[in-house]
Amino acid sequence: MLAVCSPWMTDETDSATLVSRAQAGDRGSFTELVRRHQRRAYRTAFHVVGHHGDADDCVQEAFVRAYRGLKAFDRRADFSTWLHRIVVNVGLNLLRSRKRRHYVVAFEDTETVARIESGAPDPARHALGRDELAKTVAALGELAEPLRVTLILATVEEMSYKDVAAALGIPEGTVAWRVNQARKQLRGRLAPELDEAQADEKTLDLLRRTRTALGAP
Amino acid sequence: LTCSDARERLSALLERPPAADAEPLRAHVEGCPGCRAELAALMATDEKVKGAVFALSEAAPPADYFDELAGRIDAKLDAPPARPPGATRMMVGLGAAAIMSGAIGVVLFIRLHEGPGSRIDALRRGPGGATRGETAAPAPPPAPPPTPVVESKAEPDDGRAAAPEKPADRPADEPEAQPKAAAKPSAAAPAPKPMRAADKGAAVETPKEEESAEGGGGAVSPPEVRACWEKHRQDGVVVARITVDADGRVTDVVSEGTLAATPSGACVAEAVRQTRYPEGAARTFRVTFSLHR
Repeated sequence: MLAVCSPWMTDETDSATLVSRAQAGDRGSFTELVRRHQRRAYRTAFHVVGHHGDADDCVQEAFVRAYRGLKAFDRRADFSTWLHRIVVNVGLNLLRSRKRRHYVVAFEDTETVARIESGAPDPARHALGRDELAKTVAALGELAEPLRVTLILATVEEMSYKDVAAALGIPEGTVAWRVNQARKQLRGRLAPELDEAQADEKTLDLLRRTRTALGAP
Repeated sequence: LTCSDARERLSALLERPPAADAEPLRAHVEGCPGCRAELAALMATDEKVKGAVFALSEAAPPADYFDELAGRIDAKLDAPPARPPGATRMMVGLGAAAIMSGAIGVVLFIRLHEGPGSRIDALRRGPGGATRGETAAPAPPPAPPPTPVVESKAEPDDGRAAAPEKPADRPADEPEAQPKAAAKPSAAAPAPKPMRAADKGAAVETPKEEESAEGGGGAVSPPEVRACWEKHRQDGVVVARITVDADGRVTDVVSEGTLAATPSGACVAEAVRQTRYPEGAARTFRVTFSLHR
C-alpha cells in the first residue's frame, strides 16, 4: 500500500500527524514519511559508509527498523532526529561488518565521478574542482576508519560530540581527540591555500559566534 | 595560554556547540593573528571535506533511485523480520568462546533458548535459504605472545584478517556480546587454532599465517615501533595494512586493531610509512604489531 492510496492525506499533512497515524498502524502515512525523509537519510547513510550499495542497504534497513520501532518512539525528539540516530547506528554496524575501504572505492566508481564532472545535479553547490575533489576524497580514504567516521559525524553530519560519543560507544574525550587528529592529518595533506583577508574575516566571525554561544561578555 | 598550547586545541573552537571551557582559548586566538591563520586553515580543511563528501553523496544515487525507494521499503515491511546485522558475528563469537573455554554448556544454553521464530531461527530461514554460509566469519588473529615489547607478523591481505575491535566501539543501543577472550587477546587465552564450530556448521578460522617477520619481504624496523611503545606506553595491537609500490615505497598504511585510533596507532603507521621495502611487484599485506611491556 502506497501513499497514493490514502485520499485523506495531502502534501500539507504535517509530520506530527503522519507520525501519529503511522504509529496507529497506517502504512500509507509511514510511506509518506519515507518519501519526506529519504534524501536526508540517504545522504547520512552515504556519509557514514561511503558507498552507494551499502548506503542503499543502510537506508532501507533503517526505515524498516524505524517502522518496527515506531510504537516505542516517544516523540520527545523530532522524527527526523530519531531517524537520523537509527541511520547512523545501522551505518556504523554495516561499516564494521565490511572491511572495504569505501572512500577510496567511491572515487573509483566511474559513474559517480562522471555525474560529478558533468555537474549533475547541481554544480554550484560544491565549489571543489575536479583535482581538489579527487585529492580530498583520497585523503579521506587514507584516514584510519575510526578517525574518518568520527570526523564525518562531527563535521559533516554536525552532531554534537556527546551524540557522536553515544553512537560510537566511546568517551567524549576520545571523540575530541579523534576529530583533532583527523583534522590535523587532512590539513597536512590538503594544505589549503588561503586568501588571507577572506580567511581572517571568516575566523573572526566564527570567534564572535563562539563568544555568543559561550555566553561570555 | 601559549600559541603552541592554543594550536593543539584549535579544534575545540570548531566543535558544535563549543566546549564549555573554550573561552580562554577563544580569547587568545582572537588576539593572535598566527593562531587565527591556523584556525582558518582548519576551517578550510573542514570546508573541503564537506564539499567532497556532499558532492559524492549527491552524485552517488542513480537518477531514479528516490522514485523507487519508498516502494521498495514498503515491500520490505511485509517480509518477516530480518536478522539484525551483527547477530551472525555474535553467534560465531559465542560459539568460539564456548569452544575455547570448553564450556559446552554455553552452546546448549543458546539452543534451549532459541524458540521457533527467534532471530536465529529467522536467520536460518533467511531469503534463498543460503544463510548457512554466512555464519562463516573470520576469528580475530591469534593472541599475541605477551612477553616481547614488539612482535610483528605479516600476512597477505586477503580481506579475511579482521583485527579485533575495541568493544567500546559498539553503538550504545546494540551491545554485541563480544566474548572477552576474542576482543582482548591476553596471556590467559591460548591462541585459537583453526577450528570448526560444531553448532550450525559455522567455520571459525584464523587468518592464514605466512610467517615472515619482515612483513611482506621488507624491513619493518622494530626499534621505531618499540619507540612508539616507549613514548606512549599503551599496550595493544596495531594491524597495519600496508600498500607498497613496485619501487618498494610505502604508498598507503591503514591501521586497525585495538590501538588503531590512538597516538600509538598513528606512531606505528608513521614508522611504517618511513620504511622502504625491497623492489618487486606492487603489493598489499598486513603486519600485526603487538605492543606490550
